[in-house]
Amino acid sequence: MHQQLKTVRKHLPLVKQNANRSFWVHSVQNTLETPNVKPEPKKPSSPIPPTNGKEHVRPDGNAKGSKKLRNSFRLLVFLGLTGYAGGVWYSFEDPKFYDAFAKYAPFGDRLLPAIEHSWVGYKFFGGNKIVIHDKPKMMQPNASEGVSSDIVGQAKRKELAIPSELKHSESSDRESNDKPTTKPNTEPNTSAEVKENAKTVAVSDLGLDQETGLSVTAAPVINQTLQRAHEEEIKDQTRKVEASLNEANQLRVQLSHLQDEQKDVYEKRLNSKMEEWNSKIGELLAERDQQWRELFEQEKQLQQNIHDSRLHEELVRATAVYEAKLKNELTEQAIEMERMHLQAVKAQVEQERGSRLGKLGELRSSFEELQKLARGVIFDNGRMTKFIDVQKALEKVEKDVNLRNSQSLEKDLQDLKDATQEDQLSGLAFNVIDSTLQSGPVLSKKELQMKFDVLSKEIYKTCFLTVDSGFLGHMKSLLLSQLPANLFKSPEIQSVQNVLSEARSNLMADDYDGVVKNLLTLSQWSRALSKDWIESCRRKLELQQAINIIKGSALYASQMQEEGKE
Amino acid sequence: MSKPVSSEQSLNYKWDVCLSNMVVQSTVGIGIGIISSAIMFRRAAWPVWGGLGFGLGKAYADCNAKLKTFPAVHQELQTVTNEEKK
Repeated sequence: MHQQLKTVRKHLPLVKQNANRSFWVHSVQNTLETPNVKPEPKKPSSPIPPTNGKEHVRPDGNAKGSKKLRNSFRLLVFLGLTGYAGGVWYSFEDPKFYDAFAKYAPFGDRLLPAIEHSWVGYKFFGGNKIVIHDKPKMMQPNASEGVSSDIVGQAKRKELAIPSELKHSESSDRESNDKPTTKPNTEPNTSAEVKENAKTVAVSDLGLDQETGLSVTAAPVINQTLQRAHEEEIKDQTRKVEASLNEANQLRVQLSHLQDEQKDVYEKRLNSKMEEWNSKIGELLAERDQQWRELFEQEKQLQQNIHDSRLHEELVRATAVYEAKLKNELTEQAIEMERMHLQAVKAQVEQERGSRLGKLGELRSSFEELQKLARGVIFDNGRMTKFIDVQKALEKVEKDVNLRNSQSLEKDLQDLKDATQEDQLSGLAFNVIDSTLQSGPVLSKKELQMKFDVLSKEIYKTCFLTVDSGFLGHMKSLLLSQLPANLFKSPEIQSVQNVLSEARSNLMADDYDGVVKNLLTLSQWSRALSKDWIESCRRKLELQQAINIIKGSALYASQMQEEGKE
Repeated sequence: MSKPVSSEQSLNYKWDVCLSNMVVQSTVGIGIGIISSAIMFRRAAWPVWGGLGFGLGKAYADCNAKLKTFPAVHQELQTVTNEEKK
């Protein structure tokens, strides 16, 4: 066992040495020692746990800057405190600086007295410059030995001042009282008697004052010194003092009497003056009140007049306005009555006109029938052949126009031209027909009616537009036009609807002229939308009128021909 | 070949033009917004919306001006076909 331990201890430094060798040496050693044994796979070391937190990246500039700031702040504070302490110390050295420091330094007025009255002030700064003792000197046990040289000096001086007679009398009194064993010494001893005198003369300390803490000294005993002084002189002096005191008292009494007299006089004068001034003030106040009342009355009258005038003006204005309003109402009523009268008259006129126009229409229709009958008779009789030829050509042309048969239209137009070449008026009418047909298609009645239906819808959509309607105005108009027309009672929309219904009725009656006149009364968008329809209607009218002219002209020419034959 | 517009259809024609303008210009605005968003603004969405807004605004302004033009209802250029002449 011991040998084993020895070997272990012997090999310990080798173990340590081995441990310090590198990884590669160990691996080589292991491979050489155990070739068939695979080295154990190195376990991956535990991953370094992620540290949650901020990376403390300290830029040097910021650290230095903050350190500088901190150091400078500390220096400032230190300098301030030392300066303040120095000021406190110097204030106790110099009284003027003490006052200045107490006045201007912060907390100086409180700090300085506190230091002064504390143990620090008494210890280091002298406190109130007064020596404090725990016991008075006279009460101290070794008072005689402990008497100071100052006190001894004072006692000597006082001793010299006292006359010798008094001293002797005192000494004899003392000898009679006491049991004298020793002889009286006329010559004062320097040390013993002085000391005794010093005891009696010395300033006696009575101790510390409880309020202020200062030591209190007793005043020297005056009676004893007075006894030693010259009695006669004292008596004279006392008599003089008493006399002067008496005189002073008398004077005082006299002065007090004089003062009382003067006081009475002044009071009387003051009272009289007060009465006088009070009466004057009363008079002045009364006068002022009177003036003020007069002014007030004047101002009141003035304001009253102004108010009355304004009121009168307002009343006049209001009456004028009311009268104007009444007048306007009357005129409105008159206008309304006239309008109603005119409407009644118009309605009557229209009624009569309608009836007359109806009669005229009947006449026209009956005349046309008569004309047809006459033509039929004439045709049957073989007369008015020219008119019949022209009429046939016109009918063909009309048929071609309605059916839009352009191929036969040319041929029929040529035939019509041949038939009307002799008559100048018919020639002009033919030119009109030709130009009308070339300008555009001539719509039939049905087509015109269909187009008019479309047009009326578009016109109604634009009823709600104004002159400068933009996108939103058009949107509003589109939306409102979808609603029923009965909802809208405005006169503009009603007028447009009336115009459209009237035009429709005219169109149904083949009165193209009337339709065009109705549509021409519209304005703005309605007028612009109906432009093409009016153009096509006009073309149809022109064609019809030209045909009528040619018919009439041909009829006239035939009649003239017939009359010539006859 | 464009047909002539009759006067009663002129307002509807204007509305058609307005709507087509709106579609075209909003598409152009969206396109410009997409391109600018891809090139400059890191595929942000706001340039697309901005382009759309600009396009719609311009279309609204054009439509407003067109609808306010009154009274002349002008006809578009027409190409006359042989059939119409005949």
